[in-house]
Amino acid sequence: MSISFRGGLLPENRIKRKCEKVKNYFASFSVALPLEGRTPLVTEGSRVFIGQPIADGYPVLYATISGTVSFISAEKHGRDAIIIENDFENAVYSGLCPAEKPIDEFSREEIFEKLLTYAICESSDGNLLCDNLSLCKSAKRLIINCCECDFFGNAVTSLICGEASALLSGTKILMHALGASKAVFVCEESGIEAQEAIKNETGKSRTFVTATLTDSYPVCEQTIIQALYNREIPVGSTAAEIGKPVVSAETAIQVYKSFSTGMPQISKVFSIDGEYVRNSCVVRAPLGARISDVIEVSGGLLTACDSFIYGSLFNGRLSDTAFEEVFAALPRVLVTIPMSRRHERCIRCGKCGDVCPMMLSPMNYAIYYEKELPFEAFRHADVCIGCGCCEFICPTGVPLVQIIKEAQNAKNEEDIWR
Amino acid sequence: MTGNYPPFIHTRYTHGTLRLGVLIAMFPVAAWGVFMFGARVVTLLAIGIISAAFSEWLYRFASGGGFYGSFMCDFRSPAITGALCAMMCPVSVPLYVPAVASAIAVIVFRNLWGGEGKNLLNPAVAGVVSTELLFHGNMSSFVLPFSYHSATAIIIGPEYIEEVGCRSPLQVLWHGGLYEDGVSSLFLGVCPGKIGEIGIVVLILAAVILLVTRNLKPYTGLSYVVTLFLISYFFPVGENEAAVYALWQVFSGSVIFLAVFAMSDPVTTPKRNGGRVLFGVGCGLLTYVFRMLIPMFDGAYIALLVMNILTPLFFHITTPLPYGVSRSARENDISVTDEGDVAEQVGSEDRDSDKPL
Repeated sequence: MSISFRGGLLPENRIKRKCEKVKNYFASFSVALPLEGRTPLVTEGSRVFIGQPIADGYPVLYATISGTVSFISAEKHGRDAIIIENDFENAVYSGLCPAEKPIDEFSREEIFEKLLTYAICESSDGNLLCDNLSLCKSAKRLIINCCECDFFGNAVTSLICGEASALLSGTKILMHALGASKAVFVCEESGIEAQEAIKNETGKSRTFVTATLTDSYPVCEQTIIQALYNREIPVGSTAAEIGKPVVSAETAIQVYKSFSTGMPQISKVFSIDGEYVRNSCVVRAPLGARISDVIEVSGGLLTACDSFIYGSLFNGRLSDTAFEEVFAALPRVLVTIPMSRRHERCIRCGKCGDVCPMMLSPMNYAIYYEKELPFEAFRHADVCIGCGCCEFICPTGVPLVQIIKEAQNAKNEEDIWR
Repeated sequence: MTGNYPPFIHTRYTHGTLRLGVLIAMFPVAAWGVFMFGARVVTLLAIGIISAAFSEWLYRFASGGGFYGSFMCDFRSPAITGALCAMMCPVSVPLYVPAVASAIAVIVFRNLWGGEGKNLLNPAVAGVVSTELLFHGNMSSFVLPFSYHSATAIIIGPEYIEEVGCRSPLQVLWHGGLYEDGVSSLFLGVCPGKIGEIGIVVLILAAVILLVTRNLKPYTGLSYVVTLFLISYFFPVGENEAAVYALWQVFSGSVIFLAVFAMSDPVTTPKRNGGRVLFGVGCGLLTYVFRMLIPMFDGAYIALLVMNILTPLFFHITTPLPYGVSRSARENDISVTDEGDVAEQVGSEDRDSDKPL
């Protein structure tokens, strides 16, 4: 029997794609890895290998391809990054350090230290996994999110179908670190392939259970906790803080791979699709690779297009260029023209409140905005997770997400609700 | 406001398509009315719609919208109001009655209230109630089914009405009796009554269309009908058999019509499911009470308008606290300093042990 959470929606114009084989793509001509205040460990012209530390900081920055460093943090180039030109040899760094003893012998701190060393990021938000999990003081359950970011992608399902055993092993490592006695794999009702792949691995084990969520968007840690335990995560907190850590399936797979091979996180799995893409596909590409290069894997574009959506159709980011880099929280690249809507006045139908998973009444914010009330009146706007359900369902196309975002920005500038 | 903010996808059910869905749902009801009462129904509907559209234009023109500029609006909502007004009239009314009802509904109860979305009362029902007060005699004279009338005569002669006139099932109920043709005639709609309010079968079909086109949340209408049935069942009037009396209360008059069309109006009904149920229950109770207190006038209309006034209250009391807010309020009282405090904040972990997950 499937479980559900309050609010949310099932888009009537959804496209459910089947899982497919993940294509590895490491033939990017170059990668640009942002330094973000880290100290370079290599110099321009030096040769680097896959998995080699190239900048020291929090966390350490690793080379994601083998090749030659072309420039570092050059202000004249207007970028704070290390650029590596690919030599197409895919040479792996010799100093990789896999787990040197059985997992059972690792302490919680040692595992967290390893997670930091391997620079593993949570694939849903891009934050460091060790930072997320260290907020959890004790946990009886570890929740693995095996759902897609929305109803239009297939990257997570494809990854799980291909690497279910790695998912299970990674989950065991994280369970050991957190002291959890049970792991819950949260799958979508329509994600039958992923469910079957997990069940084939776990068998009838009572330690690993699969929870099926009714097909509904958004699936995030707030909605998962609400659906599984009928509890709410306090505003400003995370699931880990209340003892119910949620980790995405891709991250758990990465944990196992890093512990078994010593290879830090150097790649990201995401889907490429859209009406302008010749062939939709799921690819694994090195972090920092140029997305325009990766799109070529799928056969390139049908016609020229300057509309790229990075992330979900509901809460992704629109860009006019594909000259951007692959980053750790990228779930998909969509090459399509966004659906345009004529913005009309709010008619107070209340449909937005019906679908809001955060139990807000976005209609009220639209009315306040119409009346030009100060942002102090927008109480609880900070609860909004920006899933976009309200604006999707709005029959008059009121730009609710933008209105709430403005209120949140005003709150951040001045602490107006406290 | 402009910008490249998500979401980049939107529902197909826009305001225009939703309104179109209501118009489509009205079609079988109107067709049944034409079958029962003849071409005069078409004339009444056309007059109601044209009057509503003209009233909308007139209001916009009077508000400074300009002669041509006032045409630049969506006339689907006024058209729905006009058609509903006409459907809530008996076929024998003079042709100006639906025109007046539509004009009052659109100008007074919709636009003077601030326009679409800001009206407190259901415009069509409020317009018809006002018209009933003005033309009570015309609005409460009914004719036999299949007694077709002139489609163009402004007023049907009283001598003709006397010839084919009869009491509606609701009027029979007020006089302590039951309609002699039985429940099946009420259910199938072969009985006297207002144009759109007879024919429970076609109204159910309209409800299905409204559900498919996402215009109707069933909670309000269902709770309304169930409440009225139960209260009539447990407190029957006269010597009628309880179940038959309860079915009569539900099937006669405008109960099902309002449950389908008036309660599909998202503006004047509560926005949360709890509020929707409360609204329906309140409507059912008040319909029964008003039908007892105010004979010769369908209490369902008054009940709906009273509950419309209470809608903001229902919205207020049924709106839950936003996600996580109650917890954070408690957080101010409980300092999260150690593991024990965290467990206290989220409840005991042991409770989870019984759960399979």
